[in-house]
Amino acid sequence: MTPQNPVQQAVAVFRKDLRMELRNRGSLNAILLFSVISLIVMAFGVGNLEIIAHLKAGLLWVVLFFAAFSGLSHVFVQEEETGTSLALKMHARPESVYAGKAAFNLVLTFGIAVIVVPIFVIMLKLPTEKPIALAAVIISGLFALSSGASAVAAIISQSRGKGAIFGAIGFPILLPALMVGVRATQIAVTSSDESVVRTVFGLVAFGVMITTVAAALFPILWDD
Amino acid sequence: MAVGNAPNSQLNNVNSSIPGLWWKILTGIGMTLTILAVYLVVGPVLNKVGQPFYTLGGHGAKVIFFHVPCAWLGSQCYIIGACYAVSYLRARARGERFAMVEADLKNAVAMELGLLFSVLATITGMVFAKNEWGAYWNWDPRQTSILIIMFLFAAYVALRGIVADPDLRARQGAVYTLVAVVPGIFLYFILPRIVGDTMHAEPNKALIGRQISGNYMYTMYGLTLPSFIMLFVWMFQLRLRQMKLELRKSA
Repeated sequence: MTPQNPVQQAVAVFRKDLRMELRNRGSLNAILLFSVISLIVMAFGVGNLEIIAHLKAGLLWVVLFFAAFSGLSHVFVQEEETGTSLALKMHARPESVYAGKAAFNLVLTFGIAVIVVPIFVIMLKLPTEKPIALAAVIISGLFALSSGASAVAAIISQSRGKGAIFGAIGFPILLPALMVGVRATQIAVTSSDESVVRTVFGLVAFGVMITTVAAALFPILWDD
Repeated sequence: MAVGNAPNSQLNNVNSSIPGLWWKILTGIGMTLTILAVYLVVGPVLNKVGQPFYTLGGHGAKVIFFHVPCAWLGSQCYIIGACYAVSYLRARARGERFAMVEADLKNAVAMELGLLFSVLATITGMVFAKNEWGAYWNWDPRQTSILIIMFLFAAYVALRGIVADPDLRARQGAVYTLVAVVPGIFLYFILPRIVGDTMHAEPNKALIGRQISGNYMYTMYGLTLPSFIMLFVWMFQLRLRQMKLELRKSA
């Protein structure tokens, strides 16, 4: 039975994707492994060097960017690859499909971060004297990152060579948000007494804006 | 839907471009005068009280004659591209196939020329930065912005290059252009407030606040900028015509 309410449809799409990924854990495992490996490569490069906290803030977002871009196109691309997009088109509004998949990506991004960020803090000795500011910056930054990645994934899901183009297009779209995220993280891991509230709002605004625009335009991509 | 279905008679309409011969001649004269003026006629760049503007006795700043029009056109290209993306979506909603093809091609041309002009703005800006600020690259907020804008244009060109189906390509291009408006807004309004001051503040104030000498201002706004705009319009029409001819060949 297909729910008629768009919110219920979005929830149904989200639950379907979650169930599929949990049932066939191959891709989830690969995404998590890649995220941890990109972190380890970074940590290996730094080694026992004493690097300043400003640099660590930048490295953290490089790792999170690569981690996110290893897997966030999957949920959009797989409908095209398995040929199931037609069935989904018949049963759900495009906006609901987008919302459900973007929500799934958000959960996936937070899932990756829950594993990657603690390892990063341990291996690269990221200072956590201001835990609330750091958490607020990382959470809002991940929201911006995931929102942008979902929008780009929706755009490229039907093209050839998706892997390479996903990163190439995602980078410029997300770079402004990443730079703000790095700047705010630098404030959060150093003894700077600047407030991160403005940057957190900026990152949330970026995520909300890009999700709104992408959800409004998704029907154009979705309807053949 | 295939572009090949568009009526051939409409795609044949490739010669009805705005710039005729007179436009090309005026552009040629304007650009020639620009080069002559910058290097031979207008002296060193001075401020209102007659002191040299920046180093090399005011000669170092002359590259701004080329930098400002390129940077301005580069950012205008984004607005033009976004307008054509909207007109593509409107034509699509009304089901007007020919208008869709036209708007998509114009969107693409604007983005391509935007890439060209933003690259030129970056290079000319680097020359200025080396002279005046000591290094080719300073991570000034404006330098960062133009770099990201360059990548935004380049990503459009890359995206367009990998999709063979014209309808999908047009839809993706229009959606990408409009989604990328969000980072554009972010760059323009939010980033400067967070990242801090720009070294562009002083030259910008000088240019907009008319603190530099008269013949310099007149050359910039009366000759250089109009010539670059004419050059841009001519290039836009030329590339559009070429794209239409390519479509007609494949149709």
